Amino acid sequence: MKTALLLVSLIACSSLGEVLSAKGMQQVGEVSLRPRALLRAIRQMLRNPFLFLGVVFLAVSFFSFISLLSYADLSYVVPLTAVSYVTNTLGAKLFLDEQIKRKRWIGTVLVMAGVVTISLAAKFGF
Amino acid sequence: MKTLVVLFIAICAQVLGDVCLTKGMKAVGEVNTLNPAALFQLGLQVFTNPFIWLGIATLTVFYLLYLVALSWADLSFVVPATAFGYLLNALMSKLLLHEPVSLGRWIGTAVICAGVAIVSTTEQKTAKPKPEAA
Repeated sequence: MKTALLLVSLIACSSLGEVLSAKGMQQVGEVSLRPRALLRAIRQMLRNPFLFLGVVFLAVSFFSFISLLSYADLSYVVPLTAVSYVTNTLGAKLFLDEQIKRKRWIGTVLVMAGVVTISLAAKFGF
Repeated sequence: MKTLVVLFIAICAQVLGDVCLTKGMKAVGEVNTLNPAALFQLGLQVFTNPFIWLGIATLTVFYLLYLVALSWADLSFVVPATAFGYLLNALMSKLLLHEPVSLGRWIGTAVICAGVAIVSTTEQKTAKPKPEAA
C-alpha cells in the first residue's frame, strides 16, 4: 500500500511538475540566449506561479523517489517510472494543447521500451 | 536545431551533476539512521561536501537550460529527447568509470536512441501560443 502510494505520487507529481513547468514557460515566452535578455527572462521565471508550483511538484516527486529507493530495488522502481514518458505526453496533449502526431507517439513509446529493457537487463543480468 | 544543441548541453550538465551527487553521497556514506542528532551530523557532512555543491550547481544549470528549451519546443518533444542521456550514461560508465556495460543495456540504449531519433524529426512546436495579456 505504501509502495503503491509512493509510486503514484512519484509518477503523478513528476508529470504534473513537468506540465506546470512547460505551462510557465509558455507564459514567459521564447527565451533569448543573449545575456541581458536571459537575465530578464530568469527574473520573469522566478516570479511565475506555474514554474514555482512545478518545482514544488518535482521536489515532491524526487522525495517519493528517494523514499522508495530507501527500501525498494532500483531495478523495481525505474521500469515503473518509465510510464511517466507516456503520462507526460498525455498531460501535454490535455493541458498544453500540444498536437501529438503518430510519429511522436511511436518515438515516445520506443524510449519507454528502451528504459524498461535497461532495467530488466540489470535485474535479470543479460 | 538550437533546441537540440541547448538540450544536448543540458543533458551533459545533468549527467555530470548526477555523477557529482553520487560521488558526494558515496563519500558521506550510507544513510541508515533516523536518530535526529546523527541525521543532523550527516546533513552537515552532506552540505559541506564540495561534490554535493558542484552537483547542485550543475543540476541548476541543467534545469535552467531545460526550461529555456521548453520555451522553444513542446514538452512532448523535450521529454523524450532528454532520454538521450541514457546513451551518455552508458558511454561514461564504459569509458570513464570502466564499468562493464551488459548487452541488454546496450540494446535498451539503442532502442532509446531510435525513439529519440524519431521524436527529433517531428515538428518541435505544435502548441499554439495563447493570446495572453502581454
